[in-house]
Amino acid sequence: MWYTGAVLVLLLGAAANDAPPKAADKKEPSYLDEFQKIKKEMDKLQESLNKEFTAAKTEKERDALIGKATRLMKEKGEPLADKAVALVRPHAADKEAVEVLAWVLNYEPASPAANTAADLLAKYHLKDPRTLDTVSRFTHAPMPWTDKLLRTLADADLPRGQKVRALLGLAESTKSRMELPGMLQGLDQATLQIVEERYGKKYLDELRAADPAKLEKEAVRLYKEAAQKYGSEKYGDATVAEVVERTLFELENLRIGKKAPDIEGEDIDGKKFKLSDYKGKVIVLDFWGNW
Amino acid sequence: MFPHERSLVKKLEGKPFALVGVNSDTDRKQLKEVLKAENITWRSFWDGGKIGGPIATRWNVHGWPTIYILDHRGVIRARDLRGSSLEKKVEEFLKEVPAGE
Repeated sequence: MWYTGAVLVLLLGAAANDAPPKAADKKEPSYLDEFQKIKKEMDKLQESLNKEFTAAKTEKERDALIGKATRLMKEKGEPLADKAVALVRPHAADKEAVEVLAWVLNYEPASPAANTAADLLAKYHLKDPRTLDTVSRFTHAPMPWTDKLLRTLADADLPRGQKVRALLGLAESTKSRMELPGMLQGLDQATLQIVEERYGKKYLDELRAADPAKLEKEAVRLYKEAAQKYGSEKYGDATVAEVVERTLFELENLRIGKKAPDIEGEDIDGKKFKLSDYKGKVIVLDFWGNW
Repeated sequence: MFPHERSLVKKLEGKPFALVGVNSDTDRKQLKEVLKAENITWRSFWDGGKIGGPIATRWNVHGWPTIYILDHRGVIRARDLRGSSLEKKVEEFLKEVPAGE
């Protein structure tokens, strides 16, 4: 909008001097101001749902509230996300737009608006670190837009460290999509219903219909690609090669249907024992910590 | 965390079931006190006294808790179930154990 004021001044030349000095500075409510309003509405919605949730006294009440919250979030949240995208679209190339687009992905990741937001980030903001940061949060619960954006980032002209994160993120996301049908099968009816409402039955059915063998092959290929391209790069407190090795071991040996590798070690009192000592029994193996 | 585990162990007493932990605490002495105070009767591997110890690393565990269910033949049958879903699955696999074992 301020452009218009400046152009007017140029065009009118001397005449512009007569224009009220505020003309070029006059601020119309910017799309960012409008977005803040949308954000506030969403925050209020979440706040009221949180209040109800904390006030609940029984697990039954809480379960019922989660269902209600999921429905409400979709009913009220999706239109807010649509609004935000419509608002930001004409300004999508602006640096300030990233905040709005990231917000849509974070708050309404399963909405159609999120697909548009991801496309806009891919088109204009690959180099903004917030793009990679945002999509990285979804590698364990990939959305329809996740892999495409990760692949674009992995292939883009970005600093090496970011390309590594994007490629490993893509591998992880593929692995997650492979594991999701199994995980969904293990959910009880109530939880499954909630998940289906939040993410849409259509998307979940797509995930379920995917060929797990094909996804596994693709995940392995991506991990190997990462090791090959970036093996010696640091990733957390390990190297990419080490992370890939562990994950490939997991994919090969720790999948449902595979015989578990034995564990040999000490118990808390220092006595030696093995997992195979419990053969013949159904075992719940629980990785836990008291922190 | 513990109430579910405790009730599961109690419920399945006498059945061919075992709850085996892999613990990533750093203070062994303090952990022993917690085990006593919380009445934790099931056995846990001490995973080197750190998050990301040798066992957790081998099993590529990145989030805690991570829970696997193995059947009586040692085959991995389920992952990351909780509460009543976990219990239901365990009961399912218990039915597969041949009588007399």
